[in-house]
Amino acid sequence: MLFNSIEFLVFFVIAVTLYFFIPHRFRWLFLLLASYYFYMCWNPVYIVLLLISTLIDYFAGLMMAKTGEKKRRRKYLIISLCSNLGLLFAFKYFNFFNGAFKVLLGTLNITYNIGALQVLLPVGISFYTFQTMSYALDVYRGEKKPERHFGIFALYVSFFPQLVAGPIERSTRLLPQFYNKIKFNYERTTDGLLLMLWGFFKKVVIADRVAAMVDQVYNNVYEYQGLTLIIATLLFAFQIYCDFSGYSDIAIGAARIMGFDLMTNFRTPYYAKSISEFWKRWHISLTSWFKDYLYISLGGNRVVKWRWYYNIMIVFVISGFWHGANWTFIIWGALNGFYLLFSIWTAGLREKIARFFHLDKLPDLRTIIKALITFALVCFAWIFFRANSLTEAFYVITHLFTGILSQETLAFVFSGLGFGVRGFLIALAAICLMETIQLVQQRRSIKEILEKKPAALRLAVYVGLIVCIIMLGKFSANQFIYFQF
Amino acid sequence: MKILFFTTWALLFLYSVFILLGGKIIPFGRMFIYEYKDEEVYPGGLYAMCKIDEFKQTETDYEKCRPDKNEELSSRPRFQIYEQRQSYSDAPKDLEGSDILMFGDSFLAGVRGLKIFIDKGGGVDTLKAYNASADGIAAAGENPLECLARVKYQKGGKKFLILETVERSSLDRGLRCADYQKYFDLKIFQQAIKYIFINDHIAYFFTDNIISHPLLRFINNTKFHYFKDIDTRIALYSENPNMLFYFQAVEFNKTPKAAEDLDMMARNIKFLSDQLEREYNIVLIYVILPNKYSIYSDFVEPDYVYDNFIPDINNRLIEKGVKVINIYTEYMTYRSNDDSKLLYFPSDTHYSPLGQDIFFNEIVGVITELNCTFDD
Repeated sequence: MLFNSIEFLVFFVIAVTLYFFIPHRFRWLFLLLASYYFYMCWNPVYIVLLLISTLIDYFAGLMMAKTGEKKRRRKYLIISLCSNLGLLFAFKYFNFFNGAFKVLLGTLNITYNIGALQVLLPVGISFYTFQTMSYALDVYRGEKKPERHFGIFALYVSFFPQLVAGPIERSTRLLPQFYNKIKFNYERTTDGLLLMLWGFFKKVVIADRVAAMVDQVYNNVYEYQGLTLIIATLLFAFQIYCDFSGYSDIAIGAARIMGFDLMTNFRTPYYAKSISEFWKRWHISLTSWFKDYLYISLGGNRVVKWRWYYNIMIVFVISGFWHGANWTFIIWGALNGFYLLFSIWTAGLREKIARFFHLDKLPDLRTIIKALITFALVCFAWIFFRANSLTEAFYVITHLFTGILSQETLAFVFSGLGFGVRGFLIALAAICLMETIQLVQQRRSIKEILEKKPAALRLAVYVGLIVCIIMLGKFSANQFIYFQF
Repeated sequence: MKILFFTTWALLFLYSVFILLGGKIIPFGRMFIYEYKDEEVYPGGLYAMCKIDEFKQTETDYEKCRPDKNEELSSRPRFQIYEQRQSYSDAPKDLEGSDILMFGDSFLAGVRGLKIFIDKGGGVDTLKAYNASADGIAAAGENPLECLARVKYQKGGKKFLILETVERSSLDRGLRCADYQKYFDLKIFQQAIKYIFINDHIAYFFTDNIISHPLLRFINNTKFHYFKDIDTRIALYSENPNMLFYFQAVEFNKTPKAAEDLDMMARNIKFLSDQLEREYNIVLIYVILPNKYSIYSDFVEPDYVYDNFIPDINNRLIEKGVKVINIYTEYMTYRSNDDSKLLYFPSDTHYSPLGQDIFFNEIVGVITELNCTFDD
């Protein structure tokens, strides 16, 4: 069930209304059933995987708490991690390794006949697997007491607003919230609804509108060059941001209406002034997961330099691999790791260059230049993320400036990448509107600004946003990009 | 503000319950489906999706889709159609009572059966064709082997089976049709799961009920008028003549097909043909109905070159000894010779009365030929 579908809207309105009429002691059960229904609408059979993951971590948590012996605790942790990663491997990575192994043995003239698994990738498997692993790790480290109520734990794993694409919540934050007695709150509800509307705007007005243009170019890359490739890549940067942050806004808004606080997943990442800042603003729940459970476990930066650099690269490569079983994602992760290392190595040099050009006396200009360079680097890395294969990614890179302003290219660009000038202009206008609002939001919360305005004006803003979504949105029931991860 | 909020939420809740009931309980939903007025002759599935009035089919458009009246043929028809809603006392009622079985998807919807008149010099032989899909005996696109096993059809005298499939689904179905047995046992369970978790009817009921329909129509027309935005299920449209093209069909045509897949499909259809012959004494006649885009791509993309999927797969099947009806070639021949009328409804994915007429005439031709062969 996609957030941007009629069935979700029907499901959500009915579920939320009933939720507030149900006595507190039964709410966990209602939310659990609703969450399982939500997941099963995608593929009923794969609920089994969710249950397996839930059962393993529930019992692993209990067993770890039962024994004080570190060795035995570690044993239960390993069982939990291996089971979760095993499922992830079987459904997401087996075919990738199998294919790579086949190629490797083929070069050595060794016959290898194990075929590819014909299975669908279960939606959200990377998200809920990481969420349950964080629980097991927290219990192992003693940072969280095990959850004894199986139903509440199952709800933590499957809570529908964030089940399929995050934010990846920590047990320490989300689990206690299921015990809170939540009463209907008008302000919280309107706040949540506004956030959901904003998410829908990003998804259907920008991401889905731009998606057709990006797909047209990236699914036929060899037909294009120069400015077309540059514009398609820039549009993809906005597509993926609006798609994923739009999803997160809808998820956070939906949970907020029901009285739950989910963590912020995006903080205007394209305003970042460096790559390290970008990663503190982009997909925060995943970045912080890798930082807390992998980077710090490897020693973080409290090790010798080469080991620190190694830790950074490992985290980024694995983060890339988390996104998909494809070399394009691995290279994307590695490239981001390299950016970070390069920024560490050249910190002094960049400072000198800034002083040479007297940029230290023009901090605003320097900020803008830094943000633009960061955005350009991020966009360059997105080429690997979006391209269908490494060969296509290299084609895009080597043809970005070929015939950049040729007549044919310009004609294609001015035809809105083949989708009409009007559609293209609507997309650009919507992106500008979003950026303006985000710029304002950086200084002052839009919510606070609205709260001080007369009711009629607030109503006009809400209605205006709904009309914008309906009139300018593309209702194609396009999947969210991060569903595939 | 609070009163407005609670009133809106209450209305939304009631409307959501209404949509849920209409989408899940079909008889209830049918009571509230928007009905097109009489003057709108045949709105068409693609028009129903986009609801843009410019593409609504008028009486004049409908006339452009009818075959010319042939005085000679009307006095001596080659076939007679039993329409689904009409009751003919001599229409074949079941699989056993007919000479020809028809299995198909939506192209045959509305046709309960056919009576085929075969000229045999001295007299006329009449063969009765029964459309299993029209009576719900077979689900649209269902594998005939699966259906015949389910209804416990017994092997008897020789019969013909016309298996019709639309081009955009043909490769997928062709690749799966040899695995029919493994789907069979789970049918009831699968249907229950489908009813509970697949909510396609909810979206349909939302867009086509008497409350939403006028509103959506206004929105869609405004979006088209000002932004040229059209429902994303319409991949392409032409304005002279007004014609809509379904995205699945366009995508199918533009997707390169692997030679191994075509081989596999041909092998599977051959397997199906052999199994029908062996288990039921039935001769398979396979027909792929072309996508509208395969026939009329020149209206929207004159540079598009058809990948010859249908002729290609038909040639592979003929090589393997499977009987086929090559409608693609017939339609293209019509277009190159005449082209004064449309073979497909402009606002639908399906063929027009003219397209149907050509199809049924081809059936008669092939059946006549085969019938004589078997008689000999």
